[in-house]
Amino acid sequence: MKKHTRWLAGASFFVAAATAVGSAGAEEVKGATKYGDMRTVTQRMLNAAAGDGNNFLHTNHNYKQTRFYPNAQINTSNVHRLRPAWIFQTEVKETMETTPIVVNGVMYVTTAFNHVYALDARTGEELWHYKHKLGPITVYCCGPNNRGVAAYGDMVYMGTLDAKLVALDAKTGKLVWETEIADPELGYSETMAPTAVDGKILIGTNGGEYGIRGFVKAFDAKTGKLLWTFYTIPENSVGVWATHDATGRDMKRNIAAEKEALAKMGDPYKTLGGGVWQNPAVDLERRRVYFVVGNPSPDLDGSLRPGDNLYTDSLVAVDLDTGKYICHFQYIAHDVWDLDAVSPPILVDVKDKDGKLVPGVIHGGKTGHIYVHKRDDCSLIRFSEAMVPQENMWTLPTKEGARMLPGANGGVEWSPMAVDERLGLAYAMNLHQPMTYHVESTPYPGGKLWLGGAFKVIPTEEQWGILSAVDYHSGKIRWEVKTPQPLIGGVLATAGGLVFFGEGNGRFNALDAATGAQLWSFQAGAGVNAPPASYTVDGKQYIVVAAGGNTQLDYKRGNAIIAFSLVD
Amino acid sequence: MLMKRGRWFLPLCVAVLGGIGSSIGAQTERSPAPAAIPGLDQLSGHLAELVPMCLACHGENGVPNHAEAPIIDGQHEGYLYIQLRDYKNGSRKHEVMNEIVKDLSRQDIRELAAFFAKRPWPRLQQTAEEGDDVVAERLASAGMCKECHLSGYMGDSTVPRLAGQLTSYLVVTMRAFKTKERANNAAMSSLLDTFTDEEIDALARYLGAL
Repeated sequence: MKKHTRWLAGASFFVAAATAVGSAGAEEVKGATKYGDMRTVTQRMLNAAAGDGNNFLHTNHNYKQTRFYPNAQINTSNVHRLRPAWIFQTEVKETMETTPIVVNGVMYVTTAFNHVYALDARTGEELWHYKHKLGPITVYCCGPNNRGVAAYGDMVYMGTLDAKLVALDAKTGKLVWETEIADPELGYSETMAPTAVDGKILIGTNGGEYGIRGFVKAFDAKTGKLLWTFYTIPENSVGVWATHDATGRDMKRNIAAEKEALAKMGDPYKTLGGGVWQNPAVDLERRRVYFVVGNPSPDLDGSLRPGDNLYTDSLVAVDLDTGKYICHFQYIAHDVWDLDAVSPPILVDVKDKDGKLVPGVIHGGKTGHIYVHKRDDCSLIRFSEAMVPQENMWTLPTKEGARMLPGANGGVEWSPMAVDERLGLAYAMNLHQPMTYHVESTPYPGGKLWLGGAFKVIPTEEQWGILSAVDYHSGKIRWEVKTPQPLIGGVLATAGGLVFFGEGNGRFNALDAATGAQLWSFQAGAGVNAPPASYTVDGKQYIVVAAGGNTQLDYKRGNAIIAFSLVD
Repeated sequence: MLMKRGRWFLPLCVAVLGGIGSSIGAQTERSPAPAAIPGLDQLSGHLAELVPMCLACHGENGVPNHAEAPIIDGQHEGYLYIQLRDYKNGSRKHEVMNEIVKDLSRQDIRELAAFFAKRPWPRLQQTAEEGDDVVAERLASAGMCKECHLSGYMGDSTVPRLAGQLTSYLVVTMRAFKTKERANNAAMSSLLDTFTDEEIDALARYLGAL
């Protein structure tokens, strides 16, 4: 199909593994109150989230991470009547990347610097407020972000900038337990929302810019005890000396020099990075989790890390119950551009090369491609047309700075995609932000920013954003909408045939999911750079999004959670 | 005019430093902490004796006494901790500071960092020159400075506040990053190496005036 391009107009447990705190958190809770009809979040509810037209139980709506909300009350024919129902202002006016979680009329949202609020989802009234007491050492890249809580049982869970996992009583906001995930002084931090499944809380780590050794860990939901760890960097990280990327382009590696370096310095796995920034998708039937792994450390300097740097820049599947490796697919071996894998993978059925529908996994890359995989073995079926300009790929970074597109923010950054399986479309937010890549070799600095050079935005070149609807059965772009600024935040699709997304300039938009036609827009007054969600209470559907701007792209800061509903 | 690092510290601070060994080593005979400095009584005794030496250079009221000494009052605790740690392990070099912290424990350093972080940040009323804001915004956009130093250059935890820092210190330390004389943050060195000295001066004036 021909592609069209449009421009937008304008309870307490005392255990060894975790620090049990009992009532210690009470003083941090303001206005704690019980909410009469709040329900426990059961595993059955989480399993059935994809078809739940009332709640929004997962960061990406369901375990497959489709971000497709199944209520059609708000739809293409009436979305023009969408108006703010309420606005809640947090006390933190700083970057917002949170996805509101809604459980039977109670909404949980997070802010920068790890505050959590419970709100009445009908009115926006505050029920409780928890403020995590951050330790003196936090080391994080790209802003003091938090992307939300996981809800499970009678608790909500949050990862913190000082690399802790906290469990709060969902009714009161009181701290039940907290445990250290990793040492923040070594560059570990948490911004992702955890994933709750079968009594486990799964969480990855930031730190690919600080020479960490990445992981995904599973903790016991009741006690905080560590159940398993999967290191995203195996002790043998060398791989197969791949010379071409997933799309078949030569990455200009000097394999002979790398082999010589490997012989001298050994495997660099201990400081090789490989953060996991976003939620894993969960395949309950196969008992697997699928996630993507970020860039190697140091970002731009490959001389200190010979080999393919497994499993950086890869899709990885591990066993849900044990954390054991199952399969992976590496997009870029020995990445020296930070064009890594961040946006959460989505489980959908896809057509294979013979046109047969098979269980698949799709991922939107910072390269600007959507990659389509077989779920069985992680192998690549196809990659989409490039959604953003690509130039001079793969030019190696230089001391003076080499220009190559995309710039290091992508393509598709951490922003989650959405999928409408009825249309076979994936909706991806993209950036076009030209940069030069500068390399300078420096030794591991012990938990400090370790880029191996610098990324520089080219100030004289135009920047913009593009929302692309991609047919994942063919890899073709069905339609695309350009925006005046690079896009970051995330997408929501609904059964009403709508796609919602925000912009750095404060606009929050609804498009026709089939055509990209703009049907509605609202000016939020601060950057809308968080993934939207939807929920239904007392028979009324709402769309909700955070408008708090963004540190990474320096979009105007705010502190609002805005819920929208239809007016008569 | 750029002063050479360390020149001023020697006459001013070495005289004070003469007392370091005895003050740290003679804890049993230490005198009570001066009551005039708020919070000093919260510090371990040997650290309370050390603080006046810090203030000799960094200023009793938080206003530094010399062009190359940064404001440390009200600076982020994590940043102060990391810098003191780096002076101790030698990854940040300064003959006076290296000497002062060499016998301090990790706990000592944490206490000192927390002490200074709690003191109020002084306002220096520095001014920028016309056009500095344009240069600074261009550099900050290209270098993505606010991605780490945050909105308003207020920093957080291990990333320092730059807004309102002593301009002359900013000039010296940014140029030292560029030349790698200050070598405890390679990413800063790589970035500042792409800026000219004149651009660094303008950026420093802009930040100092915030």
